[in-house]
Amino acid sequence: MKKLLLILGTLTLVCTAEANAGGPWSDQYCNATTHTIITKDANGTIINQETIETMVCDDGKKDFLHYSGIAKDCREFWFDIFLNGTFVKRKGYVCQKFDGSWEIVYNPK
Amino acid sequence: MFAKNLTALGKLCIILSSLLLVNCSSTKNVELNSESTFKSVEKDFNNTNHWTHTIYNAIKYNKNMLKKEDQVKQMQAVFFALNNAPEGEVVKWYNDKNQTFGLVKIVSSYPHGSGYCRILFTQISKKGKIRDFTETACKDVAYNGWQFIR
Repeated sequence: MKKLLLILGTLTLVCTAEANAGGPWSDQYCNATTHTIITKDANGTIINQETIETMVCDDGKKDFLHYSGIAKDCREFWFDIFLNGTFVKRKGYVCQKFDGSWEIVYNPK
Repeated sequence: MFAKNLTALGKLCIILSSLLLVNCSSTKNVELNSESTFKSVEKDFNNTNHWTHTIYNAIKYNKNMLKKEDQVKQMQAVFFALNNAPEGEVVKWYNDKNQTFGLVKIVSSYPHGSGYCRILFTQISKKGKIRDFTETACKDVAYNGWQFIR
């Protein structure tokens, strides 16, 4: 009976501790990524190999231009427009392309 | 009593003439949005007074208007360029679904009063038709947004 309880308890802990990683286009905020740095000498012999784990955080709101490598940077911007007798803030999204020009993109959902 | 009425009349005259002077001192129209965000891509119309041509022109004008979603993109491009882009840099948007695009380029900037003005070249396009605008937008320290001078 004790063993059964122990197994059940362990299973519950494993299930609740499971993180739903999701894909790159989910709304997950942070992803753990690993980079392996290999140092070679002049003859091509590996003299050092190091794996670094880094946390990359975003809210999944990346535009097509950015994730397909067409733009180097996508970000939101704010501006004031005059509506119903008062200034209100509005948000837009823009990507800077590799030629330096800017492209207004759809608001990511 | 007569003198009192005369004083009141004099005051009224001063107020009216002041208002008249203020109105005449500036012939420039100030708008709060770029023309390119709400005007039609169509600019060539039949120049007659016949009612059939008026209807034809109105249909032509509306047919070549940008859809709301494209007007929003053009507005975003205009304000992003005004607030962020240096002279010569181009801000564009595309919409393949509607076969439309727009672009904004800041041509020059100069100080004006307690703020500054920027001259911008804007372009909108729908199904191969293109229309260009050249506008001036000014921003004052005491004022939140941009004012478009026409």
